[in-house]
Amino acid sequence: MSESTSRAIMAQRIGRILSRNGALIRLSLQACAHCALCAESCFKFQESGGDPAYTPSYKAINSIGKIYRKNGRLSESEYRAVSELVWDRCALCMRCYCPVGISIPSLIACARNVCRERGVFRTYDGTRNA
Amino acid sequence: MALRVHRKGNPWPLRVIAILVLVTAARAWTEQADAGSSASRAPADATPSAAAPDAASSASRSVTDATTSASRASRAPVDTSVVLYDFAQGPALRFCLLAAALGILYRIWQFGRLTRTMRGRYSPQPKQRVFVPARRSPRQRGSIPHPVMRTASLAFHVLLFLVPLLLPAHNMILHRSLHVSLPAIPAPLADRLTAVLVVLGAFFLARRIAVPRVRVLSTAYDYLVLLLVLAPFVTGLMAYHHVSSSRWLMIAHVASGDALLGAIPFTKLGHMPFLVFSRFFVSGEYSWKPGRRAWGRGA
Repeated sequence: MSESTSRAIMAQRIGRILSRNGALIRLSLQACAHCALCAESCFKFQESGGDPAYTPSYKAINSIGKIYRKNGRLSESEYRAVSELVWDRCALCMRCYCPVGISIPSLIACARNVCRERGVFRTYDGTRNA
Repeated sequence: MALRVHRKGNPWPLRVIAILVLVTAARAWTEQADAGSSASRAPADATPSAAAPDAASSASRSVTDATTSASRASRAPVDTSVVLYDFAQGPALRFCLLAAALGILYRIWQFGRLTRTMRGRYSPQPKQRVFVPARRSPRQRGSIPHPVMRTASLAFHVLLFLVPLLLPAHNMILHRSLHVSLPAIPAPLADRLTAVLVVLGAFFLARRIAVPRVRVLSTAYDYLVLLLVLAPFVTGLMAYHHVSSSRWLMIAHVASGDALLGAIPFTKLGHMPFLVFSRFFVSGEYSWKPGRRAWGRGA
């Protein structure tokens, strides 16, 4: 399969994910008051000693929010940064508390889906070529 | 090849229709009110319902503007501030109320579309429900972890609703225009509560600037929305303390109030209807009421 065809298929799949979840992503991002009150509920945030980049809403806004706003047209390095946010900085433990009731894990999971379609994902020792 | 996103749920046509409906309804309402007010100017045969909007305008004008001639003749030289004030507390207010009501209805519909009813009592997939021992008691689980922020946020949001609704001056206008009123709290108490609210708003603003994790999330839009929320309260406070006798202060008060009401469903203030949906209707660990809905469309 040629490079352009595989890229087109990838784009189509990312587009499908975004269109299926678009309304929820839009509504969630709109409802987020940027209050950062979710920070304390994140064990990764606590462990990092209060690094703002571990705030759950920061992770959601800068992963799926960015992807959605740009229709999935992110550069390779941007996708790598997103994957760091959604895999390395989030364990998807579903313990984040949002005062407004936004389902942050759903947004992070959606960002993970897009990243996987883009071919950027978490690798573990020895499993890359397994 | 560029990415193409097929947005099935793109609501643009719906928005255009909603705006058209809104404008038409507001115009019809305004015309009816104008007809009502002109009818009530004719001395005897004004019906109470038709006279009501005019009573509202004259009542509020006489409250704020007692020194000037309230019922000025239409042929008198036009004063821009009077025209603007009448517009702000008449058609603009009606338009914004209508926009807020229709917008919230749209949000309810959207919520219904984005969620599905679950078959089970708590979860559609009971096996997937993970119980992680919580450090906090079930009663505390649904509230903000930080004690200061919990208290401040609760006080701010409760006052945001209670003060305007229970303010004696607002209830007076409401009573004269619609013949209904809510129990009013004494004016000095309302004054102090408004001061508390403004102080809490300033605290949130300071927090947004000072706390790194909030600062990195904040955009100009967040500051704008916070200032929009505080604007009617600050101007109201200033008017109550006669900081300025200018009618422009009251125009600013009413206009910012209009803008605030109209902005609820369409801006970040949309977290108000969203919170009701998500914390009362969606099932989840942090729900205040175990709802029977879950995010995601039906199978």
